[in-house]
Amino acid sequence: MAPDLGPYLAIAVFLVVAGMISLLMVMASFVLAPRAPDPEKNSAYECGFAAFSDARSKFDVRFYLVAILFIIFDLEVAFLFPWAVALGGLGVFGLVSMLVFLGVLTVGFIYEWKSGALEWE
Amino acid sequence: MSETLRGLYLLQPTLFIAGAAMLLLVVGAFSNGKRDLRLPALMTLLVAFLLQILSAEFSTPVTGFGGLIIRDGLSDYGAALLLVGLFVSLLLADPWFRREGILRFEWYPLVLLSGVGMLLLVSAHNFMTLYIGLELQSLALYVLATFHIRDLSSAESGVKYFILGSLASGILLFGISLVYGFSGTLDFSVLAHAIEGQEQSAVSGLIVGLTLVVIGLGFKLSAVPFHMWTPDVYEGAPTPVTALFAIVPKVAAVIILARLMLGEGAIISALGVDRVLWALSFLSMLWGALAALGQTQIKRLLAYSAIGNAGYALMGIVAGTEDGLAAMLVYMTIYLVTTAGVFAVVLSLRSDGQAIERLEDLKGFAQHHPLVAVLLGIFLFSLAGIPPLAGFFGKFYVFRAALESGEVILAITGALTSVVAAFYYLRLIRLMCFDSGSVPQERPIPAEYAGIMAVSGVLVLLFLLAPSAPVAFAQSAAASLFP
Repeated sequence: MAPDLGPYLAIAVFLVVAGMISLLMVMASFVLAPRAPDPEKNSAYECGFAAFSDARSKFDVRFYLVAILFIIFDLEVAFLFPWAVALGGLGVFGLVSMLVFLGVLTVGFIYEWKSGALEWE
Repeated sequence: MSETLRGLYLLQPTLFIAGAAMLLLVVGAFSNGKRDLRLPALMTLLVAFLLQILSAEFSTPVTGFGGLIIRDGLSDYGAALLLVGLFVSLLLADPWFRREGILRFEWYPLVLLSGVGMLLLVSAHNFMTLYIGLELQSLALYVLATFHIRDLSSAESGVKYFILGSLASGILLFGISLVYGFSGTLDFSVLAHAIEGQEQSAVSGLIVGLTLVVIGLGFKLSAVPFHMWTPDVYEGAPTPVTALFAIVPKVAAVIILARLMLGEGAIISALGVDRVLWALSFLSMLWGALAALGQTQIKRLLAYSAIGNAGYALMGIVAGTEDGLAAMLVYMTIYLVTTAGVFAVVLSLRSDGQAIERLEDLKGFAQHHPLVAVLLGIFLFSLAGIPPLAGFFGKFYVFRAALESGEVILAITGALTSVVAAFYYLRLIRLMCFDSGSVPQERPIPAEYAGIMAVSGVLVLLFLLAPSAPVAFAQSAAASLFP
């Protein structure tokens, strides 16, 4: 059974007309507008300074490291809040599960501490 | 509470490895990497293997954690295979890393953690467990690909693997979300019951979702057309890591695919999703054979060999029968043994202190190391499927299972691509034996490599004498999906 698409006809017409009008406007400005390029106009910004250097400069990898470590412990806290609220209903199982989770995180924390990820110098 | 305890009991080998990996991480961190962790890591795998065997559930499948995980013949067979593969990978890695001076203690915990993911994957009985297992495995493997941190190509391979792997995980997750949206469950058996008796047209959303899941798993298995990462990652990663990639994760991926497609009365296969696998198998065999012809790097050649082998293994799943599954398991076992032997040879190859990467460097290899050359020849003949060797039997069982279930085109393609593949394996042997080389090869070969070569060689040669024992194991493992 083919679905009845009749009511959508108006939308289809609308889409086609909207597309044609916007295309027409872009084309018109392309064809009709006067053009007189000069070096000033072609430069990146007509106002303000010319760029001094490339914006993609290097910066220290330790910023990434701090960001990554932050996310881990941020998520841990986000996980702890609902757990703390619901702990009454979770009982011993909930407590032990969270202790295991915190234990695993602590192992990671010990590793990063001992390998010097937290020292900025 | 008892449900939890049973789940913990069923998962004990996996949990043991997880605990040991964390312990090794702490020990390594406190000793600043001075302490040698190889023996503890190997012992961990050995104990996990014993735990897995002793608690094996070959008779009836048991689920734990409310159906999140399952232990049956298939998961036990897979886990045993994975643990052996990880053990061999650890043995293979050590002398090479030490020689290159890039061994760091993180290697051991990372390999163990990837093992935890794989073990979880083979015992997954729920899409959530499947995803967590796959991610745990993949995250550890991404890091391992960049293990040689000062080497640009190693970093490149890791980044490529990570980006494409994340994309595949995204596709897999999208598929899982569709499955959940259209069926309201993530449990494999509940899903199968929900599908049962429905018209095929009524479950079209599920078909799309399951197809996306298969694509995600096909990526991890490096099945064509989702194989693009494989040659680059294999080439760039340090060779022991390549060996790990080639030997172990494939086993986990094919086993979870088999469970998904053939478990619970093969209902998911019956939806037509197995036709996707058919295409993956067909294309992998074809492209794995053809693209390998033009390779000049040893590791790229082995990557295409792995792609082709994934195609043959998938054929067993496409067959959809108990025999097909058993044939697939036998094939993967033989593949693991043979690949371990090949990598033992490749890792021991050195001339002028440099590890050999190009095929050309193999020239005249047979003159310097006649015995090793003979062994490599045996492994390559086995991979090519020449009769008296193990590889022939692996292919034979898979082809027979495919023919019995009417997949004639697939079986014929497999036979023809084997011929093409035989060409490039034989070309390697020609380079090794009949071309004279200029570069002297280094001796002696480390004991680990000699041992692995010898064991693999004996197993490949003598499979002929007792093919019934491994096949019987595989049969009883396969029977757990076909009650």
